[in-house]
Amino acid sequence: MNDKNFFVLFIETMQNRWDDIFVALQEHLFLSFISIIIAILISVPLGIFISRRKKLAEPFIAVAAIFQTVPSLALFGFLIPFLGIGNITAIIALTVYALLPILRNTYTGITSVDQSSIEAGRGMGMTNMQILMKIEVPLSLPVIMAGVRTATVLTIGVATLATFVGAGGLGDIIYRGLTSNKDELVLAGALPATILALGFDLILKLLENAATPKGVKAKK
Amino acid sequence: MITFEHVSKKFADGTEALKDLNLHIEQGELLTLIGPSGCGKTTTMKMINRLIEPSGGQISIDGKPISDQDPVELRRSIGYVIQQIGLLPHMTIAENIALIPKLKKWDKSKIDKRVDEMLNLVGLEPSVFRSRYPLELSGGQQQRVGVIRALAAEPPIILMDEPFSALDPISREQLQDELVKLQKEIQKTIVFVTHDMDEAMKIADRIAIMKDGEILQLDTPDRLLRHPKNEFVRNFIGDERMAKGQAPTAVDLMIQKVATVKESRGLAEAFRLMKSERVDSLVVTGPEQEYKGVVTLDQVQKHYESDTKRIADVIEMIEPIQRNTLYPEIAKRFAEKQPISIPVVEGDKLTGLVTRSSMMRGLAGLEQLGYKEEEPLNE
Repeated sequence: MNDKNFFVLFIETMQNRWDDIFVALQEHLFLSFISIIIAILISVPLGIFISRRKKLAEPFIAVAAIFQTVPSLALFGFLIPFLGIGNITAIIALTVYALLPILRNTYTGITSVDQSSIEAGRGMGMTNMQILMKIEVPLSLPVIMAGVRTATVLTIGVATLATFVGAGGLGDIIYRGLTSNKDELVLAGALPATILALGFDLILKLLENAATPKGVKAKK
Repeated sequence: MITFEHVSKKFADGTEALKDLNLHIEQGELLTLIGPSGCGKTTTMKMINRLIEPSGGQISIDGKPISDQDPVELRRSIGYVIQQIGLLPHMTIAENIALIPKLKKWDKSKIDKRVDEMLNLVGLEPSVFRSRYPLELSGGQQQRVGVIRALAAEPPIILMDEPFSALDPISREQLQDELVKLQKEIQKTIVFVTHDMDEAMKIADRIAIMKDGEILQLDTPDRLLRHPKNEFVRNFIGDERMAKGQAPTAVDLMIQKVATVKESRGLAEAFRLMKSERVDSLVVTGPEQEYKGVVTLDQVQKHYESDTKRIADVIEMIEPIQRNTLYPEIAKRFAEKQPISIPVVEGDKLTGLVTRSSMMRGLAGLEQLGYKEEEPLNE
């Protein structure tokens, strides 16, 4: 490998394969987004639910943690016998992977809301729903958002493995580069994936700050 | 207004928080529930807005049993102030105050007007405080907001659960004063839980002293001091006041440097002593400083002619008080028997003297005790 040529090669690859890379990028975003949204839809209500029944919290979080510990590639492998290959398999695997950070942060966020605010709310005649929507969710939103951020970065990374279940994504490009022994092609897949992860991390960090209520920031 | 009939409460763990409680709270009165921790005072209060449900008996407001009412609606008609204040940190002061009126769907202009009115009521300038957040306020200011938030929707009843006990002493005093003043204006029915006897004495129309889930005595502060029903009530009033470190007892109110005379002395000597010390009575003591009685200028002058008489012959016995005797009792002695002064003893030894003016000074500022030594003798 000639170092002097590598950069040039990489630029050329990017230009020549842009259409492929762009498609892969879209697939990658699609897989990550759908998974994260499903994970949010499952984890946030579940997190709120287990914050009401603390006895259930331990087992639910433990199960989510076990999913998380399964090596990502192995998880995709496990699912193939049941679901075959394709987008669905990839999305399920990614969703399972994203559950824990969101679930844990939702639970922590909701349970760490100052009990005196809730007692005051209940004592003044707020319904459980009003307490949830007007007190608990706004006050725990920064923590929940932090969980979503962790899950998003994780998912964008793990989504590169979706190629092994035939769901495409930037992993396709990387895999093609590896099998054809073209480092510049590997990079052409890896670099956008990295930028994507870093970019989302930044955007979600800003969102997290925006989600922190003004009155709570004043304390710091 | 609020009536408890045979109310009992057993918690799931078997503890019996309340036993057959009967209580009638009058319209417009400020009733304090007080007692040692675990006496059931908070449980009693939280039953009024159904945060705790009774195991037996019935509670009614204006004759209507509260168990028939929707808890949420019920709570919206009862103001609630808690020790931890519980303002919502993500809402502005105005939003916090507007919380219940909003839940009750008042229209916006009415709410805005009410918020300003409430802020003015506790001396917080609306233009400054409306848009602030709770955490930008001091503890005292936060609890003022806590109180007006409870008042905002004009509930006829307000429950206060040790609302001032987490505040610094100065804010606490101020808020107590403000509450007394406020209560004169708004005439709400207030149920106030506290463990602080001084606070209860200061603000309450009536005080219910509770122990082990029962009300031991329910009376006005004055009647409680004068006629404590039993030893526990007496000790509770006393202990609490002494534990606070500001309990006026005989020691706080007496002068220590007392003009004394031995009983074997003659009247002429007593007269000379009174003149030089500029007092009109002397405390008579034995050889070991034990208290024997008092000799007054009147008596000395009356018997002055007979030069055989000695102090022992004209002595008057004023029943002494112990060092830890409480102010209310001392005041009662002064009121009933009209003595010039009352000697204070420890065992049978004289340690000081309470006079009307030493008592006044002692009450006016206990910090002045440090200067006691320089005070004139016996006045």
